[in-house]
Amino acid sequence: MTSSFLERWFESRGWTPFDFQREAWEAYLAGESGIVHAPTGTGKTLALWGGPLLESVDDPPGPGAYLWITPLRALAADTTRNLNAPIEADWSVETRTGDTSASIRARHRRKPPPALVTTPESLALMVSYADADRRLSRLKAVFIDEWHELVGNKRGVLLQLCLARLRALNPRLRIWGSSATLGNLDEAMQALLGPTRAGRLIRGLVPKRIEIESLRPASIERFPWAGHLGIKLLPQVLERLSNAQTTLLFTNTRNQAELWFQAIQSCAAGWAERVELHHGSIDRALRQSTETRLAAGELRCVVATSSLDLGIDFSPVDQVIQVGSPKGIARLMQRAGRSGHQPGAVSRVLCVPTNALELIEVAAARRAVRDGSIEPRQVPLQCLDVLAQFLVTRALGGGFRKAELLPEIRDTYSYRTLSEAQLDWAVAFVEHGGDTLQTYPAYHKIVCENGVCRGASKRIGTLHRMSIGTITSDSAIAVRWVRGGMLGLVEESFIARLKPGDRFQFAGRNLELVRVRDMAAQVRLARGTRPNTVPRWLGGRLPLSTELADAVLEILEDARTASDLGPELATVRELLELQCERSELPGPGRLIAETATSREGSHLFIYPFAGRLVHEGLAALVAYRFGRLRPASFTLSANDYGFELASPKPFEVTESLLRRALDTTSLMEDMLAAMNASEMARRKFRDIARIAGLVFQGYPGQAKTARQIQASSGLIYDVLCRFDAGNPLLAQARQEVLEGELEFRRMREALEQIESMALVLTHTERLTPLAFPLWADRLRHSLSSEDWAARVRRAARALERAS
Amino acid sequence: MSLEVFIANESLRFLPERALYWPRRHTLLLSDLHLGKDQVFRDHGIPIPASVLQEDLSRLEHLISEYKPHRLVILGDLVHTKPRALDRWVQRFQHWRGRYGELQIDVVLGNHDRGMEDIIDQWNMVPHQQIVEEPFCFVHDPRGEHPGFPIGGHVHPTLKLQDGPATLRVPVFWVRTDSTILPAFGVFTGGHDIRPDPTDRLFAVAGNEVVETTPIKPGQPRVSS
Repeated sequence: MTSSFLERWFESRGWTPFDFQREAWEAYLAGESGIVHAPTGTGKTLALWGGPLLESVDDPPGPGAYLWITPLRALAADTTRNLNAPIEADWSVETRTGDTSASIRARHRRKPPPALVTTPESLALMVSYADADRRLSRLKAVFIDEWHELVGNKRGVLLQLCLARLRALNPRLRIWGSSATLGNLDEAMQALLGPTRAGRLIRGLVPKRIEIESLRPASIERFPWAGHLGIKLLPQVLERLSNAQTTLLFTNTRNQAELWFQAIQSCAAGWAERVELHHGSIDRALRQSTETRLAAGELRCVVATSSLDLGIDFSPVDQVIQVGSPKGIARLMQRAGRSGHQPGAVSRVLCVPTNALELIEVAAARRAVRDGSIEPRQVPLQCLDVLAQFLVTRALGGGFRKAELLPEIRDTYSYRTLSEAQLDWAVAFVEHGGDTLQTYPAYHKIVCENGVCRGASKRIGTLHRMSIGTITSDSAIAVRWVRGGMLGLVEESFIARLKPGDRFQFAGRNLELVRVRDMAAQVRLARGTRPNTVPRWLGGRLPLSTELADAVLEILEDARTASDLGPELATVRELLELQCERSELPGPGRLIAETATSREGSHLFIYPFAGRLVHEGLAALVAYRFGRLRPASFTLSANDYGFELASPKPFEVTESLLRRALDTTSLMEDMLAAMNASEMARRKFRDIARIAGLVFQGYPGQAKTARQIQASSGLIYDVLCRFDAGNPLLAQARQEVLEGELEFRRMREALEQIESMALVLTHTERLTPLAFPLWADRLRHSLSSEDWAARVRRAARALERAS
Repeated sequence: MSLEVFIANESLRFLPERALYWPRRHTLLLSDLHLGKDQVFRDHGIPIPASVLQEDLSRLEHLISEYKPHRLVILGDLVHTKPRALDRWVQRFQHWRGRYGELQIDVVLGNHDRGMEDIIDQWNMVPHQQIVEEPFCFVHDPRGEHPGFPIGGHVHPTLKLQDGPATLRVPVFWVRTDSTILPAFGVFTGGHDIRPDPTDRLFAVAGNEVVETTPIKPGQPRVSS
């Protein structure tokens, strides 16, 4: 094996290649494809890139030989630098993303560089050019970095389709992915290579030892039972910060990140300017400068959300702090892996609970990491919106024959069982709108003649390329200084609640809203007084994973008998004893339900430990089924452990009644009825409409044509429901609500488990430690089965009382 | 069910079909039809069903047979863009117009109707910049000074209502101290969420009814933690 030049390069840096890196290089040179899985920052890049480097010694790459796909375009520049570092010969790697200037793109098209770092969306764009076949058939290999970030979402589905196209053009194409360790690596492999190919699974330097520690309050009485900010532990956190060189402090939401940043900065005597904030809504330029300063060792602390979960190595980081529930094991491991970047070094993470019960989650996470029970990433299946978009991309990119399409599309994991009828609909949808020709007169995105389908017109092509890609975001509004300069993006609904003069905290600054103009909120620094609000972003509230929830139940079960509880459980011991005294501890085979009465009326608490989304669904389901027996109105509340039904009128709960309410019979029908799924589907349709090309977003400052075809996805949803109710995209929206918003599969599994569990129903005189957070968390919603007019009338009456 | 409202001492009926009837003058008023908008979308590769036109026209037919107006006033934005000779919706609309040939139709020109005078004339309708008719002035954009109490459209007013966790968005008749604004008549027009003043009155279209709602105080920012 001619590894000499690469070995020399390693040597010159004082490194030795790891066995797994050599294994990957050899597999590559032998023509294989596969996945290298290891934590971020343990040499995955060189494991993937070594193969082509060695290959290039005897076989220098021609134009367009290698593609390197990165999920984050912000990472592209660093990746390009890293890939170029070991190259000694006369060729180099270049970058092409949405940020690349038109002149460089033009040069790339005239003379494609031997290797290109790009994003899934830019690859889709390449597929859409008329000469795509000729250019892309020259590819020798494609590398997908951080595949775990893509495999579970629609960007990954789009990439699957593009990879299938590349395989069709060159059956010998090698495809390699790098991934964090997942619970379903086999599935991830099939999604990468197609459902029929075998690939090499190479295990990197895992497991790096991970130590999970927790910050515990001195006394439990002062500790909030219900979820709260956890800023109470600020003094202890500050102490930890001052004992470390560089700390990454992760929070679960952007809202919390803003609050922690503010708190730390105001207490950081002498190093306030070395604290930075990093989250997905902050402008990319600001984020990048934070990342650069972090990598250079200039910062003491960065408060971040999942925006820093992946990306380049921040070697100076020697401490990672997680505020709030870790939610999932893979995520906590990933975050812990941000510290101690020398291969083989121990990764440490310090968990700062925001309430007492989260301490149990920390203990559970430690056990789950020990047992290696890591969450899978579900691969989305049969997304017709992505397929519809891809068909137009293919039609523009040299055209396709209908007959040849089915095997190519089925060569993806997500569409491996796509039926001919489904594909026919998708083609018809972009050809003339759907099953019937009359519904959409004079509409064509593609035109099929003599069996070949091509883009309908140049204008359609331009519009399609502008909106290619499946990354979706809620309609966001730019936050800018009055004198120009971008701070980031915030959800429109938040700005809509503010009036000029109102103060709010964003990007770590106290801002005053001056005016809203041209899709931008113009702001200036607020003087003196504290902000009166912090934006709360939608989404980002992950439910507790099944794996972690199961580990929590096991820990609780152990706590009943074990004498050595470990530091976390020892801290919450009194709480657990109180729970036992007033009711009972939940456990793997035991479902706990509690009833209670208060001034507000009757309460029912149930703790299935199935994650917030499932509990929201279950709360609605149980309320709906109770209401069917005897009309009643309930307010509902849910968290990661359980849910509550409350009613001003007393309601009877017996074990058999509860068993029937938690039955799996006609579950789907009851759920759809209970959750008012049509309204949720209408919201969900926003993403689908954008991906399938039903809404055109356009760009600020764009020509009038774009403004002329602006319509909200809600309006389009309503119009389709009324005039084309059979449109499969509507069915997809309902399906995505069930799977994505309600975790229907997990709910069914939870209910099936419950059927075999012992049910312990207790009437409690006072709220139990498990009940209290639900009771205190006033994010309640009510269940309504009334018609539209009645609801409008009631909402109107509520307004009268308020004003 | 319609709702009777007195404006400038005249009795007017707010109709759930998103139109207004003025009994004393046997006049039916509506605004913002945006004919042909669906076709513009289809031209740009966005499949909007052509049935939206049929829906608008049959709602209009229903109103005509119900109230038997002597005259129809369209308060602007009759069309979305200037029609082309081959557009199928033009033929369908002309056909519809032919069936009600005896009905007088006045069109106040809206911002989307630029250069439409001749075509409106060809369609057997009368174009106006505004129509002054004591005590009212019918306009497209009712903001600003007018020789009479202005009734218009242009805004497509909608109101967001909170029902528990759900947000309901309803078209409204927006009655201000200095103007009255109709909701958009066209089914594929979209809406604009308004921020009413405390002195405004709002009449929401809720299914087959029109329901009065009191205005909200201008948005107090909610403090979130």
